Amino acid sequence: MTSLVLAKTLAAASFSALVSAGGVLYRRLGARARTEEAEALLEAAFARLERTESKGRDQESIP
Amino acid sequence: MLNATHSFDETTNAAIERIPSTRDARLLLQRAGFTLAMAAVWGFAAGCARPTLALLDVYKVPMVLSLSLLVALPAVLVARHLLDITLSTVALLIVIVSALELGALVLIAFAPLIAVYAYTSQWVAPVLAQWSAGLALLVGLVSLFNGLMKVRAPKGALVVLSAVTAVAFCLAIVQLISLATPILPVHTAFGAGIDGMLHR
Repeated sequence: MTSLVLAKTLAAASFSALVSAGGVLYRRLGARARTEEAEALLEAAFARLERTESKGRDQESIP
Repeated sequence: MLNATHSFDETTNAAIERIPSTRDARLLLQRAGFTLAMAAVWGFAAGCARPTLALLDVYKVPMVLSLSLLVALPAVLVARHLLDITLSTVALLIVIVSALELGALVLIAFAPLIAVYAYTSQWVAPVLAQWSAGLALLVGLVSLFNGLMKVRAPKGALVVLSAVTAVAFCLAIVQLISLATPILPVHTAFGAGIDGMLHR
């Protein structure tokens, strides 16, 4: 096997690995983004609930 | 009620906007994939005088582009570190990939013209293909320079980083083109790599 053929094979293998890794990473990032989005929404919902409750308590304490 | 709905929307949007890193990385991959797809279309057009070459170019041109970036990347990252530029790797990659995307847009703009010429002219088609590739490279480099200049860092360091990126990328792409040759149906100056270009 000449060095040129070896270089061509290596380049092809690297490109295949790069494209596969990109595809896998893209899917994983998609799943992670969905999880993070759900967590952020949940956090926002809790914060809102807490704010509403504290407002309610404040109104109750006013005679 | 309307007030409560508005408040709900604001809190929700703010919560979603707090997760930029994953979204940035995903956007980066999307843009890189789009760039490679555009390069593949140009490759198909450039080689379509011979069906086998056209099909091989669908893989060869994106390979040259992506491996050039991969080969140049260590030099770019080390230069960023030595120049003490506070720019994350993902942000730097977004600038580079955006530049490549603009270059690939130039390629896709020329692809139909090159395809028509590939079927009708034996001599002008390869020249047109090489000129369009050169123009795409130039647009990419200018876009890279503009993109890096928008970063909040000393301008001198950014100019050096742009130069290092441009030189490393060009050196890599010349050799990878020679490795992927034949891309066009005729012999070109880039077919023999940097040795062939220096001996001319």
